[in-house]
Amino acid sequence: MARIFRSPHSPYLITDQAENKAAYAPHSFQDRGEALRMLRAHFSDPATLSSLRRWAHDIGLFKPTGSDVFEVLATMLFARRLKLMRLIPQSHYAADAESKPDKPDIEPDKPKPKPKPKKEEKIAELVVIVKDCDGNPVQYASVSAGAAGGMSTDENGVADFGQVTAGTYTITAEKEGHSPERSGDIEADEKTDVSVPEGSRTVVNLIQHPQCASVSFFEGPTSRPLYFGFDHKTDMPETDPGHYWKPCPAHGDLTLPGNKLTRDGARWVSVAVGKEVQLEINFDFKDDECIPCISNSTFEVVPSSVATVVTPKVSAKKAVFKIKGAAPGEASLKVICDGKDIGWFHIWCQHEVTLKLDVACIVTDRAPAATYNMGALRTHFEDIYRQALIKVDMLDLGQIDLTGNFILSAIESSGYPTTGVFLDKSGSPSAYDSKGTVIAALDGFASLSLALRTSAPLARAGAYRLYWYVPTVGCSILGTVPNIGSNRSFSFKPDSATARNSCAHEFGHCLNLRHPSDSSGSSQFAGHILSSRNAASPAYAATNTEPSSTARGANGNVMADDPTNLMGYWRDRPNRKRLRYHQWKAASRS
Amino acid sequence: MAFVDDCPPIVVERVMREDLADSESSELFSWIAGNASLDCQVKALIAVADRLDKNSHPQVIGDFTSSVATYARFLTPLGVEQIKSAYLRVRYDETVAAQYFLGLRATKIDIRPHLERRVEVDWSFEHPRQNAATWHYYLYLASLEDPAAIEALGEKLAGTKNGNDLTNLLQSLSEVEGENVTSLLRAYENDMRRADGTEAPGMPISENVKLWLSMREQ
Repeated sequence: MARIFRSPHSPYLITDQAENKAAYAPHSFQDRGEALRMLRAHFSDPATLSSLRRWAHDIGLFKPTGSDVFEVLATMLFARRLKLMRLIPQSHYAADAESKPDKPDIEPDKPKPKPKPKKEEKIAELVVIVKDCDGNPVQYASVSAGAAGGMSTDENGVADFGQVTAGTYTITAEKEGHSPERSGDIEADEKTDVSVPEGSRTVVNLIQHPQCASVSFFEGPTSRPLYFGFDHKTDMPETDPGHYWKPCPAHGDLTLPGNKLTRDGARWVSVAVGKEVQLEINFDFKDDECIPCISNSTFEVVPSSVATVVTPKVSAKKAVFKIKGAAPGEASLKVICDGKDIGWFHIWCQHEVTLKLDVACIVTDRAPAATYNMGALRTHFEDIYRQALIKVDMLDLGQIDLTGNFILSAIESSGYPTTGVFLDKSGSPSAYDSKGTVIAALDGFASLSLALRTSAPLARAGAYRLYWYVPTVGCSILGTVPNIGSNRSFSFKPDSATARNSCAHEFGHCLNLRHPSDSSGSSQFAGHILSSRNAASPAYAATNTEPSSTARGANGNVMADDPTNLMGYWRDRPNRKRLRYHQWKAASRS
Repeated sequence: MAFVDDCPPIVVERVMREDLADSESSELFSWIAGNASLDCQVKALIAVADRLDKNSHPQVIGDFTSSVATYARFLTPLGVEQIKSAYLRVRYDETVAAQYFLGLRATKIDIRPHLERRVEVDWSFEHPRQNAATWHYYLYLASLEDPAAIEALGEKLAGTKNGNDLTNLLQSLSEVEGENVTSLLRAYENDMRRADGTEAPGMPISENVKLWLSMREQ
């Protein structure tokens, strides 16, 4: 049964129906705040508010204590579980309720059409049609016709005044963000001294063409949980400024490129199937700024199967913009106005996967028990691998005590002398040369020990494993893996922000990600990023999604175009977190 | 003792109410491991098995089936039957094939006729953790001593030229029990191709294989 709330003191009704014959089409809200404002504006008189509380309580939406009925209903309205509809005045819908087209869902500023002329007056008919410069009808334009009153155009662009008194009229049509010309000032179209003679039907054509922002572009949000991966490096322009929005182009100058790897500054965004991400949309104008024009923009995902647009309309120069992943694949989001592309970003959509990672500390005669902060480790991994739509499910296996294992002790001793540093790269043969033997032995004996456990925590079958092995004598490197794609990784330094980042880097190797210097990994980086390896890195300013980075000299494993990439050797380890589009695709997902 | 009697109320409550159709439930067993005894963890596994159905999310199925492998040595014959029943109810999804077949391997549950119509065979993968559902399917068949599967795995190994890819495949193969698998591994005991280290060539395949063979003897 339909739920409807009406009050004699409010021009609106609230219902869970999709439509109601007594009302115009449901109001569409851009955000919850707008719904809240509308409710407060039209349902606040004491009698209405009291009735509204009872109604909301009776249908189970609202508990009288401790919550604000407007807050509850605003949420429901924005989620479209309830609808707010403006009531059609009785004189309008009673006579012709079925055939009238939908009326605007906003309250017209103009007065209603005046009452029909009396019989002694000379009768004429007046119809105003509002179109754009291409002949497309313009809905919701406000039309005024002097003494005949005012009304809004329907979906055919028609404002039918019906019978009016014959005479001469000044007729105007206006719509926010529109102009009488294709590229003109925002103003009404007007025809003066229009003759509407007795006994005839006069049709008046007016033009309101949507004016557009010149360009639209995107940044990430400033809050980490609101997005997965945001990549402004893969398509970074060759020269600065070289972004498609700098310098600001004229409307009509832009077209979404067919190749998503065109270096036009467009952003890549990762989004999981079924999940939303938030971006910051920006608009700019080559000439005069026109904020109302922004709302003429529409949004299209190409191909539409990959993602859906959650934010249907934007009305500010900088605003929140959301999309939702729909199916695995790649797509572009286009901002369109007046039939022209004015901005875009690219989308990589996949199912989010969960990978298990067991964490343990190997204790030997040469490496004492080490403590590590699992919470901080989880947070760091979450921040990084979220970019590639990967969740890392960690379990702490605690210590694996291999002290007294004389075979392992012998392997450790042959791997590095008591006084030497573990994996020292100097000497002949260098201790580093025995890396494989030592870590294979450590993993082998640790795995055997875990297999014999009969109490929790058990090592999880199929899980990746991260070992902390911190030799007393120190180690020449932060961590390693047996080989690229192995399911084991090692951290050799005591826990710290740097060590945790090293763990994440090594886990990247487990997922098949390679160093920039690794010739087998060339497909894991954009060409220009990879070729900037071993060049001095410039300083980069902070963005919404990344902190600033300082200028640094050349390094064979640092890419000047993307110095803070996780798989490089950027010195500021805690901020070495970025994975880019090619790496999102390259990372193992099971 | 039953699951509800043997587990803390908080674990019972969550296991019975968790939305298994939601990907957000894909870390359920890690949470249980942190909140329950081993005995309870095993019972919780069976309780979840009884709740799984065709609408269960693939990531939840992946979490469940890899947990089946984790707890396999603690399962009773009745528990294995309940898990087999769950396997027959849930959808096979190749995005979690590694975990799916790992659970089957560890319990020796034989549902080959059920899988025959469902598993698509595609040997074009390079790495056992990237689009390699076929690899894990054949590891499962090999674990059931299927001679054709051993032969097919052998052909895949023989056709893999890259030392790193071969190392990863052999490492994955080494986790499967059986004499036939041991024989396959022995064929690479003297292979001098190398894995890719992070900065330089890694261990030769021969050394890795010798290590895995010695571990199989433990």
